[in-house]
Amino acid sequence: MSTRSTVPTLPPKEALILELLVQESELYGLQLVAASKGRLKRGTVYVTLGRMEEKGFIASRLEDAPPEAGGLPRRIYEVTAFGRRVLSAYEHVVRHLTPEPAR
Amino acid sequence: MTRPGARLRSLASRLLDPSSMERLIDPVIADLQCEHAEAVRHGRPWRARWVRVASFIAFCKVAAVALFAGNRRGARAIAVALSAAAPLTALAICAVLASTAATIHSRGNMVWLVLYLVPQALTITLPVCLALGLFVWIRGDGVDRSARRTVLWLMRLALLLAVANTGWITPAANTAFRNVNAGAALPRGPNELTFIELGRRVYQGSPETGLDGPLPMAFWFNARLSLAIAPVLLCVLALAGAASRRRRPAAVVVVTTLAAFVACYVLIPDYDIVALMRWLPATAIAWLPNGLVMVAALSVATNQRSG
Repeated sequence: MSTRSTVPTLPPKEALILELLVQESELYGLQLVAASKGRLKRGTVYVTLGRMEEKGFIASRLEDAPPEAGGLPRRIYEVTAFGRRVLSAYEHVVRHLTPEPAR
Repeated sequence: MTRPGARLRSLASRLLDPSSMERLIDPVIADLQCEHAEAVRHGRPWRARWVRVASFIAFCKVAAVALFAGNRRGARAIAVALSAAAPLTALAICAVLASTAATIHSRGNMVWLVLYLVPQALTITLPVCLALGLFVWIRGDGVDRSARRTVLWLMRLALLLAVANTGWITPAANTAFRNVNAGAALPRGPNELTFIELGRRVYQGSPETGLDGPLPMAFWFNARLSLAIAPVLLCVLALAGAASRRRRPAAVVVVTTLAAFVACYVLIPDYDIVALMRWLPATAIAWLPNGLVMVAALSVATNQRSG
């Protein structure tokens, strides 16, 4: 049996979002884009967040927009306990299974 | 005054299911409104404009993903339509360039000349590729409510674009083509007149310019009208073909009719149309491609019932 299929993988964007949410606890989509320093784009972040929510890595709730701004309620995202475990497993795998450079 | 993104949200709500709206579209619009309001509050109008543009692009990407997520048939339909669009547009441009090769003096401006021919090519490729895409998308599948709404929106949009393109954009591009080629402003022929100007010529009998060519104005006016409504008729053909249970014969009829429609506009030169005028009035000739499409649609629909 191939060992490749048994190693857990996490797409880089999802790993980055989990890392940012672990650091900041709660963020809006745009705040994630700003915090990623160009690694996340506003055109893709919402799709990735939606997919991660379906997987159970993150949870979200609606928060009323500031009264001076008005408009639709904003969706704010936080990492779930499962998401934290996935991230820590991913980091463990990256630390221990990444091949060492040839000497 | 409506908030930024309100119209986009309303449009998306007609096309997408509530879950996609809640998870994907609403967060984009909410962040846009908040960021825009902040820029306005701080007196930064250019920042507010940039937020609108960046959010519009983000909205388009998210809406495209939401429309076709888990819908491989939809993605395939877009791929088929786009891959047909490129060669068909190139064919239509090459056909015009080949027929006017002797009159092209300004070869240094070839890139501009080709670009000016794109709108004219799109009058044919846009409806044909839309019909092909629709056919691939809904072929063999039942059309649910959301798909029906999407089809209706696409048909309306294509009709609007076709009217604007055949009526105003293509004549302006043709005028630019002739002027760049000649290096001077030339009097306009029938291909450079807008819908309204052509209509005036036909119904008020404006004086001829000497550039009208061998075909009567009634032909040009009706050809333009028939091209403007072609997207609707081609979509009807695609829907009839897609709904047919006899998949293979329906596919043959749809693809052959689309190819014949393209050939009518791209491959038949003016002198063949003049020859055809011995048997048919010019107005009827202008509507022949659309008539062909309607006959094909009816034959597919009738075979479906009797099959």
